[in-house]
Parts: sequence; structure tokens; C-alpha cells
Amino acid sequence: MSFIMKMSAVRKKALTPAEALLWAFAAALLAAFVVWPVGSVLAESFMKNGQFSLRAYEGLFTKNVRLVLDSFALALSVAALSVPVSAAVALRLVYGPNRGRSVIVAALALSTISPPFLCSMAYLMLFGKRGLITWRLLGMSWNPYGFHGVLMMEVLSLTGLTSLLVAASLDRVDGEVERASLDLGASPLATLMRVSLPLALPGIGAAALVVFVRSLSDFGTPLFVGGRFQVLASRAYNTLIGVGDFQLACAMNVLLLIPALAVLFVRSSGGKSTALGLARRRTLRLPPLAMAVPSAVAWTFAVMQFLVYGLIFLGSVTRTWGVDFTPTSRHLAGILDFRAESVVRSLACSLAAGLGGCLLASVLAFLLARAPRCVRRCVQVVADLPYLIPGTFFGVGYLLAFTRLPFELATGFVIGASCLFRQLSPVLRAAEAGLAQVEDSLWSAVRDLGGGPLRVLRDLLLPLLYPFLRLGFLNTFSAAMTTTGPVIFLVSPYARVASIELFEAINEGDFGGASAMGSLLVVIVACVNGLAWRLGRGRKEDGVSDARI
Amino acid sequence: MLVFENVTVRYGSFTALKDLTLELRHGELMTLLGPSGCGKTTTLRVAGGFIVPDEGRVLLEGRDITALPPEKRPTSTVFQNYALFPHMSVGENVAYGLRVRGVPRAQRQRRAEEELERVGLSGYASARVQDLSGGQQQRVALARSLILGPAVLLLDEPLSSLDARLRLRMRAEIRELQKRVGITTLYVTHDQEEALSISDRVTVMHDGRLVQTGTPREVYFSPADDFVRDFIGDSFPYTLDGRRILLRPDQVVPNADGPFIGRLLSREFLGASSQWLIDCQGQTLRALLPSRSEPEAAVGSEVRFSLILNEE
Repeated sequence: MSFIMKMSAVRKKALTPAEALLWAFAAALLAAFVVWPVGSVLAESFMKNGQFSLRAYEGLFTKNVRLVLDSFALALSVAALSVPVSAAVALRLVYGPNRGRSVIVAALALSTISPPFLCSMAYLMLFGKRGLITWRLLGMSWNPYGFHGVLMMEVLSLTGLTSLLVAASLDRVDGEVERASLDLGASPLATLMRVSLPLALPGIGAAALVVFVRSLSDFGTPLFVGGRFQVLASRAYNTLIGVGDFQLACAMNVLLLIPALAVLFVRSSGGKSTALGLARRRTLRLPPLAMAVPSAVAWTFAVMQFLVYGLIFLGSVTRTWGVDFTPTSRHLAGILDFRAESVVRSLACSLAAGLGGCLLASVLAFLLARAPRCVRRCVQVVADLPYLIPGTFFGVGYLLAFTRLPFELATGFVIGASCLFRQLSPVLRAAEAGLAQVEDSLWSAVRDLGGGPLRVLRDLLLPLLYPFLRLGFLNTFSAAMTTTGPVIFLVSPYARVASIELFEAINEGDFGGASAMGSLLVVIVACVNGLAWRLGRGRKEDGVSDARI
Repeated sequence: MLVFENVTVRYGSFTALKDLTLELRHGELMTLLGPSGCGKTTTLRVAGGFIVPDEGRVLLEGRDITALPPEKRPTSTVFQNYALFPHMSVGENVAYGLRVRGVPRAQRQRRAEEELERVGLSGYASARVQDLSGGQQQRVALARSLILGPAVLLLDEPLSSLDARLRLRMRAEIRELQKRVGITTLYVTHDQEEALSISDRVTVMHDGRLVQTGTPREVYFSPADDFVRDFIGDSFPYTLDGRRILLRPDQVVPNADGPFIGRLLSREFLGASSQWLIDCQGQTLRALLPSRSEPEAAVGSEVRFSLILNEE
């Protein structure tokens, strides 16, 4: 039978005119919004006054060696600390008791739906010059700035994501293999060490690379708590905003690109999506003693996360942090009075990016399912690129590509597009996964029973793809609401977005305003997530959970 | 009724169906039988409109339907894996064809319930298809196809994903239902026993060609060539009077006044029947005998037998 299926696959290869049109459209979009901006940064890093020049790179490897080394040392340290913590949290999630799991997952999710530098603000609120603990309680003046602060804050803000990644890769380990190991006489602990963890190792490695790259490209945390300690990302930001040296800033970003490409390579050789289905029952039960450490780590981490967000919320409803804790609504009112427009623009851009991303990803998934393998890989790499490169790299690319056009593009459009294409990769993966479960015979069945192509779309594809697309939409929406790196260079004084307002409020030391904006963003993102999950719960959901019958 | 006229289908350089001409009669159940890749599923897809043949025509009641898309054809397919919609209930699955045609909800619910009753699943309308057993899913797929009153029912290896016992039962049920509804049916299978037991006529295919069409008895007793003889039923080669032929074990009949003499090499008890291996002038023959009336003969002794050569 597989023989015949192959044959029918061969038959499908001929492109219909409609498909050719879609291909042209999708390729043009990818070229304009991914390849061109990324290429622009590369080109700019070699250009000085319109001439080829290696000046920027020479500078990086002579004057700025320290900067390069510091950046990589920081990223390595963050990865080295974050991965063990993530592994512990993941062990607790996958092998621990069901009770309390959702609380921990909620804590992890909180940090993935908020900007990475929100932790830094909480840190400064506690340990900064006006810090609650250092200044108000202990009355000491401790210097919170420097390598240690950046390291701690990045670990705290990035470990949520890595924990989910590691948990997903552990969760994918086939329970049958674990049962086989137990059956052959291995203890639960030996099974974990010799079977489960080695099988999850590629996923753990990918998570380590992801956190490494995220740390390299994070400019907010070093900017806020680094003090004199600087890294490539924060210096690139300063070089562009302060000095206006495009070539050097681009060269710095290109340097940051190299590790991102390594992640791309790892992903293409076996990395998979990160859908987490922890509800599955596991046979492997670790002894309580072995679970004690992971449990303690996971709960400590979860409590710290809640503490951070609790502090931020407290900051948003009290008058002056560290000085006057009288309840007030003036920070929130301030947003409504002066920054409402930014919040609305954020919402509009994020909604548009989310919906547009779903549409583009669906079309791409549909085309890729019928494309030769090499074309598929190629498109996937192009889609992955914006997701993996540093956010500032992508932002600078958009700045170079779309502000030098002979005509002017609306700022909101450029911001929306950057969010859409930056998050296209996970949405595309979700759409492909969704489409893969719609077997060919189901299409045939609709046609056979009298439904035309529109019926296929309405009665089969949309309902079956819906849960996958919803996941993709939420991913793009949440990321777009909280993103800074890709959009910080795109906003103008007349068209700003909420996440940038937040960034600047922290930069100015306005903890009240920043807390209010941060709380508002988290609440909006959480609400939209909750709303989307609520929409379309019910019977349709059940059908999809085990669509294979 | 359904006629294939010189139908040829090519996949690139591979020809899946070569010049097929075949006619289905009103109300009959015809099986397409053959090994994997022989073109039987391709034939079914051509009938259903999923593949447009490169050459030839398909006629239904004299009307040319070669280029008619699946949704416009009065044919209905039961797919190999049933292709039930996972996001719809049993009732919604069965009523889907009516929904597409704009039949009002109340009416299509009633019709779905009737159809479910016909396949012995009344009361299951609101069940999820995932909760049904393989046999029940099979029946839902049948009901979903029959609700539109198609002119031709197409079944693509409908029993292949059921276990052996259930397969026998569903086989009988499908045949019974087909006769009751009186619907012209094209049935694809690679299982010869299934084909022989269920069909009015069997079409044997090989390498994209039609080899033989006939009643089950015709293709078993008068196979058109060695491929059919070998594919349907058991056979072994034998040289008789300098001519090489294929014999079936039930053509070798041991009896006291048979014209042939051989030596019994072994006897094997298989339950209902017993198999003898007989050596006759250097050639080995196989005989299949009913165990309860098996004659007494010691291994190594001489046995006499006759050959039933003129088949029906």
C-alpha cells in the first residue's frame, strides 16, 4: 500500500496555477521580510561610506576583544547555571506528582510571556540604590551592578523557557523504553540516568544553545544591571542609539549571529517542536529521596518567579517604590492618560502579527507538504532564521531595509511585520504538525461525499488545524506584546509600543510607571491566552487530542 | 452499468493501469483481486474520481463520467482506514453528505439514525468516533457512504485493519447488507479467500492488467493462466506427459484403483484436512484429504491415486 501512496504523492507534484501563485506570493514575502533585512545587516557591516571595509571587524578583534570575551563568558555562565536548574525543574514536572504541577508550569509560563528585563527591575527594586532590602531594611549601600547581577537576572528570566524545553524533550522519551528498562531489572534511578536522560540529551543540548543565544542577544538586562559591565548586545544598542555607527553595530550583531546559526544547525538535525503534553501517565516513579532536590529547586524557582511578579504588581499600586508605600492608582492612570495609544498600537500590531502569521504559516505548510524535501528544508531554514538570530539583529535589519525606501511605510506596519516574521518559525511548525494529522483519505472522503474544495477547507482543515493555529497565534501574540529587541529601533517618538514604554521607564528609573506597564502587559497577555483557550473548548477539542483512530 | 473502457493510468514513467476494460453489472458485487501494486486500488480511485485516467473512458449507465470530480459522482467510497472525521460525532459523520447537500438538520438527523440502524448501530449517533471499535467504525463508514444512495459503492480493502475473527463477521455483514440494499459494489482486496467468498464475480489483476474476470468458481477451477492458478488457491508444478502444469492439492485423489502409483513420503495432520506428500517417478505431489475419511497408509508404502484433470 505504501507503494501506491508513494505513487499518488508523485502525482501531486505538478503545480496547479493556484499553487504556483501562492508559492510566488509566499516566496516574495519571505524574501522581502526575512532575506532582505538580514542581508542588509550583513552588507552594512562590510560597508563604510559606500565602500567595502573591514574596519568594524578589525575594531572588534583588536579594541573590543574584552567585550567579545565578556559576552561569551556571560552567555556560557548563564547556560551552565540555567541548564542544571532547568533539568531539575523538568524532572519535577515530568516525573513528579501531579499535584502542584500546574502551579510550577504557570510560574514558568509567566516568565516566557514577559520581557526578559522585568526580573532586572524587580532585582533593582529589592537590591538597587533605593532597594527595599539593601537600602530600606539594611540601610547599606551595596553595588548591585556588574557581572553577577546580569548573570543572576538572565538565569532567572531565561530558565523558565529552558525548563519547558527540557521538560518537553524528557516528555518525548518513549514510556515503553522506560518500562523495558525497569522490566530488565534497572532501578528507577538507573533507568533515568541510563535511558531517559541520554535519550533527552539532544533536547537538553538544544535548550542549552537556545539559552546561550538568548543571553548573547539580551541587551536589556546588561543595560539595566550591568553597570560598567557591558556585552556585545548592549554595546551594539548604545553604538546605534548613542553613536549612530551603523557599521560597527551591524558587525557586532553579525558576531552574535554565529552561535544562532549553530542552533539552526542543531535544530535541523533532529530538534523538534516543544509541545508539552504532560498529562500522560508515566510508569517510571522516582524514589522520594531522588525527587527531593528537583522538587526543592522547582519550588524555589517558582516562588522566586511569583515574588518577582508580586513585587512588580506592588510597585504598580504604591506611590514611590522604597520611599512611600501608600496605595495609589496614579501609575495606572498615567498609562491611560499618556500611554494608552502605545498600548493600543501594541495590541493592534500583535493581533495583526498573530493572525497574519497563522495565515502565512498555513499557506506555507500547505505548500511545503507537497514540495520536494530540499525546498522544504530551505523554506524552513529561512523561516527559522528570524526566530534564532538576536532580536536587535532583526530590528536593525528592518531599520536598514524599510526606512531607506523611496516611499514611507507606516511604523505600525513595519513593527507588525517584524513581529510576524520573527515568530513565524514556531507557527509554521505548529501548522505543519496540524496539517500532518489530516490524512489524505480525509480529504478524499469530503470530496467523495459531495463536498468541493471550499468544503474541505471549512469542514475539515479549519476545525482540525484550529487548535494548532491557536497555539501559533498565542505564541506570536505574546511575543509581539513583550518584544523589545526587534522593535526598539523601529519605533518613532510619534509611534511607540507598550514594551518600549516599559523599557524606557525602567531606563529612567521610573519603577512605578514601569511596574504599572509591566503588570498591564502581563495581564493583557494572560487574558488573551485565557480567552483563546476558552474559545473553542468543548467537543472539538476532544476530537483533536487523539485524532488518530 | 459501470464500465471502464481502455483505461490507462501513468504515474510518471510507471504505468499503474494498462488498457483496462471492465464492466460491472447492476447490483453485483465484484472484487478486484491481486497482489500489492497490481493496480486494483488505482482502478477504484479512477471509479471514485480521485484519479483522472490518462487514456480511456469511464461510463456510468452509459454516461461518460471520466472527468467528473469526486463530489459530483454518484459513487461513494469506504476508505481503507475509514477516514472518519475525527472532529465530528458518529451521527455528524454519517449525516455529512446530506449536510453538504443542504438537507435541513432535523431531516438529516432522522436519516442518519435510520442509516445507523441499518448497520446495527442505532443509538450511537452522539458517540465519538474514537470511542468505537474497529468493526463499529467500519459500519459508520458504510452508513456514511450509503446515506447518499450512491449508484456504486467502492470498498478499498475494508477489512484489512480488523482482526481475523472480526474480519469473517464483517465480511458476512457487508455481503448481507450489499444484497439487502442491492447496490452495485466494487470491492478491492488482496485476500483470495475473501474475494472468493464474498463476490458475484472476481476480477484478477496483475501488473496493471486485467488477467481474468469470472465467478469465484470459474477463476478457481478454470484459471486463465498460471498466475491466476498460483495466486488463487494452492498449487504446485507437475510434469505430465512431458507437459508442465500446475496442480492443486485437491486434484490429487488417493484411491485404491487409481491409475497412478507412488510412494507415500509423509502425512501431515492439519486439523480438518491432512496433507500427503507422494513421490511419483521422481516428482513430488501434494494431496489434501478430509481427515475423517483419510485412508490408512503407512509412510513409505505404495499408494495408488488418480488426478482430476478436467476442471469445470
